[in-house]
Amino acid sequence: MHLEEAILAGTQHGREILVAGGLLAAAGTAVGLRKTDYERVPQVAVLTAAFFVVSLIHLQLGPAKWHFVLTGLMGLVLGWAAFPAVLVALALQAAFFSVGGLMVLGVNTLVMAGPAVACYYLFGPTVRSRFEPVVFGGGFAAGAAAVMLGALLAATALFAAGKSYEVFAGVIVVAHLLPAAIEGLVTASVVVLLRKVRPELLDARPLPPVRQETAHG
Amino acid sequence: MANWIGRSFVALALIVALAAPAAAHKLIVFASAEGATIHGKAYFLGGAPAQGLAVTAFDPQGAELARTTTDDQGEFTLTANFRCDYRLVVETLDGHGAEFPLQAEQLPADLPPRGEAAGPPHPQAEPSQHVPPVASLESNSSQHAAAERSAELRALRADVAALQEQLTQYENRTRLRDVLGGIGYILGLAGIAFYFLGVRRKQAAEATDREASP
Repeated sequence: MHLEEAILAGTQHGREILVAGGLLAAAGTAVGLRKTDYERVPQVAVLTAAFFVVSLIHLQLGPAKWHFVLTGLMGLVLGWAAFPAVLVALALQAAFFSVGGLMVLGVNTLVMAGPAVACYYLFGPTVRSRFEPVVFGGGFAAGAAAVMLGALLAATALFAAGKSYEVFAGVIVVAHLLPAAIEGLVTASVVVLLRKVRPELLDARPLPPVRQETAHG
Repeated sequence: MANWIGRSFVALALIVALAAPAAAHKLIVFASAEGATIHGKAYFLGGAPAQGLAVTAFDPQGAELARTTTDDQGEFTLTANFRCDYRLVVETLDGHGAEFPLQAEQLPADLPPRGEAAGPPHPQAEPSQHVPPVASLESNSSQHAAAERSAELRALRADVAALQEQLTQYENRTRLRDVLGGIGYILGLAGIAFYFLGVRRKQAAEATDREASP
């Protein structure tokens, strides 16, 4: 989902997208920082580190290579704070591993943090449900939707920069369906686990255990 | 809360330890010239060939010179029509890309220069360009010796090209210390955020104290 600098910087429209992406990402980051209070700093830091590390682990999925992005989870836990988290992680990736690039940082931040914030509003209420299957479903939807929305945004940026329509369709439908499903399953499992052991991370009550634990000392 | 954070960092450290040999799925392009023919190869880190991707050659001014696609092995061939620096750009469909600069010195001298593009020869030439052009060796040596030398030169160039390829691969490997360094930066930024938010919190507390005291 990372876009590379050379591809957008090559055309006039591409450069406009770079600037627009930069401005929108800056605005999102400002909102995110404003909404981050003292108690949330560790959560932001831990998820930033998780995102940074997990993006470096590449899995072979048939013909395609994929790495987890965890943007759905970031959105559900962090809300708007996903913007600064993604920005920091991507900046470090660009600096250390020359993934993406500094000029394209804004667009890439938008491509990943935008869907995260969308998931926060779309599926936040669902994952705060009292019923475990609903929570699982919400988590799955958030994880999968974050990937697909990110791919959609990335493809839109490429399309607007003058790439062909086949690129658009190929990138969205073919390349990201399987990764989205896997990402959804992982996000769903994590969300259900969080609801059981650390529900306050999702601003929710603890999920009632399915069967009563036997009391012992 | 603190407990949870501690455990998360331990888990992260474990992931990092396991992930250290993993490489970013970066695209790498490599090319060398033999006569007026440019042979190149595009592959992803780890060695998987980049198949069926568009390869575009640009001159130093950014004008397109030639265009082709990579085959099943990720290899491609272009014919150079000018003696100028070539910039070979390979793009994947999802926005990953890579480029390789091919210096004019690698191309035969009898090709026409492109405007002012050929320019003065680069002072910091890559190892392969220190090798004098094959053509200049023909004087005062027998035909046979020249052929032998040119074969040797070709083998040498292939060796250098392979070495260069290995070097790129090595340079691009994800390294544990980089990953740990990145996590260190994130911790540091969190600390800075704590500091500023803490100052704000203290000021707010003092303000409420002052209001309460009189």
